[in-house]
Amino acid sequence: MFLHIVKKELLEHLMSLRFAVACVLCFVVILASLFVRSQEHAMAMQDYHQAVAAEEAERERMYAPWQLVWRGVNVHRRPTPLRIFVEGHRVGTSGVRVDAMHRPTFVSAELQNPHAVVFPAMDLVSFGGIIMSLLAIVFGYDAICGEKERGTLRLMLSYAVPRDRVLLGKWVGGYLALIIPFLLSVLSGGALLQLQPEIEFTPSEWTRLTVVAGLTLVYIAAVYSAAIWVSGLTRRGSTSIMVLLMLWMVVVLAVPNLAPHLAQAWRPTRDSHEMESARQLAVRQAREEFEQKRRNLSSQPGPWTDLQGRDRSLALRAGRLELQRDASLSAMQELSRLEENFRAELDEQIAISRWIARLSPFASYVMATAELADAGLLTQRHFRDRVRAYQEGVTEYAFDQWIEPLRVELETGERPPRGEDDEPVPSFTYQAPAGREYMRAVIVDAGLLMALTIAFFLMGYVTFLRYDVR
Amino acid sequence: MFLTLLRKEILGHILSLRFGVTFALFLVLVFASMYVAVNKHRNDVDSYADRVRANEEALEQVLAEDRSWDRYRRLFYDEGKNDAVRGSPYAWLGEGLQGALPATVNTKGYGRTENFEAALVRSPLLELLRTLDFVYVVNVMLSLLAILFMFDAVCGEKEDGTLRLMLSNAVPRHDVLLGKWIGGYLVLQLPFLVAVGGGLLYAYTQGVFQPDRESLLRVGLLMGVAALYIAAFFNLSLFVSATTQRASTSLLVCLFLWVVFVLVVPNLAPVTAKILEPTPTPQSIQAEKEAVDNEIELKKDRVTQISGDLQYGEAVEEEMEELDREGAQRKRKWDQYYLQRRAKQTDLAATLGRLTPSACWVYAATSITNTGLESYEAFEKARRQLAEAFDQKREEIGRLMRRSRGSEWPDVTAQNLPSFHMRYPTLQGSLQHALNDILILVIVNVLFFMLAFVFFLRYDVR
Repeated sequence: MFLHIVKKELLEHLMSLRFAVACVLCFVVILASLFVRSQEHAMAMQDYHQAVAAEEAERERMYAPWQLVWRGVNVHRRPTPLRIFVEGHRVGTSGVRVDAMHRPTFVSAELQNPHAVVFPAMDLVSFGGIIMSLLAIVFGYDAICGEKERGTLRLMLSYAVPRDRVLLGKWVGGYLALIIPFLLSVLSGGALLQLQPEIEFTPSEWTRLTVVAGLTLVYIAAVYSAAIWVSGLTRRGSTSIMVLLMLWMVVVLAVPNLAPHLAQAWRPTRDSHEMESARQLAVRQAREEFEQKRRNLSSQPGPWTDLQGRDRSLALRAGRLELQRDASLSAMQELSRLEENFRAELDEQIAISRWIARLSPFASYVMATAELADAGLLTQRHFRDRVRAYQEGVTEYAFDQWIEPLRVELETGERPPRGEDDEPVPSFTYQAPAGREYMRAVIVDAGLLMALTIAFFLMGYVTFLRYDVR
Repeated sequence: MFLTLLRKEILGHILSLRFGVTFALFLVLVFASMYVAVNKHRNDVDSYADRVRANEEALEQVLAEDRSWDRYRRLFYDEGKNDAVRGSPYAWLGEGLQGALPATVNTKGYGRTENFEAALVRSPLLELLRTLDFVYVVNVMLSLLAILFMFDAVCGEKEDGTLRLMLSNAVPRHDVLLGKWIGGYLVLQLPFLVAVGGGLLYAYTQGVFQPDRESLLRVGLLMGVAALYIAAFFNLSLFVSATTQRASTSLLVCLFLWVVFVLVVPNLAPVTAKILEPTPTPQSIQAEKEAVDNEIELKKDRVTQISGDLQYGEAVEEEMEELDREGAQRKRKWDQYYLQRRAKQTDLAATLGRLTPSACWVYAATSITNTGLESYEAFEKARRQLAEAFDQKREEIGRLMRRSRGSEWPDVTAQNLPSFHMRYPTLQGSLQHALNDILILVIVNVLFFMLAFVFFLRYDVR
């Protein structure tokens, strides 16, 4: 009997106009979005390869360590193909300039395309979160009250059919009809993407993409369950759809977008100029300390103490460079400490805004998928930390390359030629965070989504058990 | 008879549950968005004043440095000059591209400018989620409410059986349609005007909205365009209602069209334009400029080698300056090339987006509130001008100091150093930018209404 009900629900949906509309929307929008975004990704990969090649050539042309100290190198993060599916954060996804004397400069890709700020790109998450949730409402709003209006619910329940079977059959049949066009279009789009050679997923990316797809299905199930519940609370389809659409507007569109502002009002952070003033003060103090030490260097004991003439001048020069290196590293560490303080303040605000936003399942869905797709806070911070660590490594390397020939010249009397014995400039290799870090970042949101799905289904169940079918 | 029809429509809407819920939602959404935006704007204005003060103090400290060379180094190399960027006074109505503007611009010598990185003080959730401002509320939510108001205007009455009854009397169909349109639109505008009035009153009490001539005209124009935009979806749902037999079908089609017009097309347009008209990345332009720098450095080295002992003479100095000017001019050409390519891409994105009333509304609203593309371009222009003027100042002071071996320092004060001056478009300029979008909205309204009219004349009421 249960399978009969599922079959009946499925056929009813498959032969309805709403299923046709869902198919059209899913296939057209998802395929268009995946195509357009994959082209964007291909362009980003091309830019990435060109930038890496240009950077390699630039390093080859470097003839003196001071160039590395003052001009530095550009580091690039390989664009992840997961961004085809999830847009997430736009900042900090392009190249970073790293040298020994300035803080890393993160270039924002959004400055290239201001329209993308006003009209963020349609990705799978916006489609799943907004459009599929609307479709879930359209599929579920008259699941119970619609059948009551038509008179078929009374007829069905006049047989010895338990109400729980009826509800479960409706849920399964309707949900299958809802996700069939979505899954087919995503799988078709995914298959087409595989044909493009620039798009390669690592095993970790495949796993995370699967989890994103899973979360999308759970989110759609949550909204569909809510639609069935409201359908069981009302007598007429028009009332049910009105209530659902109003709730949808508030829960999906209003609450998540209000949350960061409410958190900002509740727990404001210091302004950017305070942070910048603190940074500039730290850099200035480090510089003044360095200048003072540099001026007094010759009167301090050191390797130059017993030397005269050219040897003394070489030793002093090496000494000054060591001071400069230590001052740069010390300034970098002080800046990191300052940034940690500001970050701690911001983290409190972010935590509050996350919890307010979690009143909406849409916000949980968006936050979780952004983290999984390397477009969230976890990856942003991970990347920045790696860049800072790399900056310290490059600083040590650059100054060592500058100081070492002076030492050799001091010992041997001859400056060693720049050649193949020189160590290559350390290259920046970015490793994504470990799998457990991703899980830690998304566990709360994923758990909330599943809990909501179960809660809405149970509420729908209790409501339907007491539903007056007359 | 027409007035009777009008009265019937108005009463029918007012006494429905739909009106009550819509009224409540209008009030909550519009007022909530204005409340959040007004408070944010007030904080931004206070923060701007703090930043201006902090920047003045920082500059005074640099200029108070004892030694001239240290002063020169700090001003043009190490710390530079900070200028606070003032947001649009109408950003509380629509954020637009204001989020992309930095709070402060830092300028150093050699044309280097930097935006203060906001990543450590600005919540990343603001990037992930949309800002709930008036423009967004009208764009997404009020358009949907307009659809919910009218999707069953014709087919719903047919299902109830009252349409047949009404038309069995000697009532012209165009009177019926016009009565429905005017009655429904008046009732829809009522909560909108109440909510907006409340929001403006709140903005006025917070000192954010000053009722001078320009502000009143801008706000009035924005509300007018918002009413036009809502009317477009109102007419669309009336048209769809006049082509379908069942309310559920009408709702489904209306929702489908709303999704396409509001969510799909405007959001796919920028990415499509990016593919059709690609721009070089800022890094590739930077690489080209660095290649120019390398070439100029090599030329300077050659000049130094050729001049030998005369490398510090006046003629050599002039030649070096000439090489610097050549380098600056070539780099400017790269910047212009990048801006031209980007302008082509953004124009194409805007053209593609204008296929829908949603994009027209957003472009018109952001032009009126000075938070759109024109303002962003004004910011970039001001920043470039500041970088050039600041570098010229650096050359002038550097030349003087080299000639006097650091003993002379010109009379440099905070007032005579180049500053950041960003000019937001005037009201006339904003209106010019918004005119095309307003015209498109008018045309869309007329088109949808005419379609509704034509289909209703042929509608089978049995």
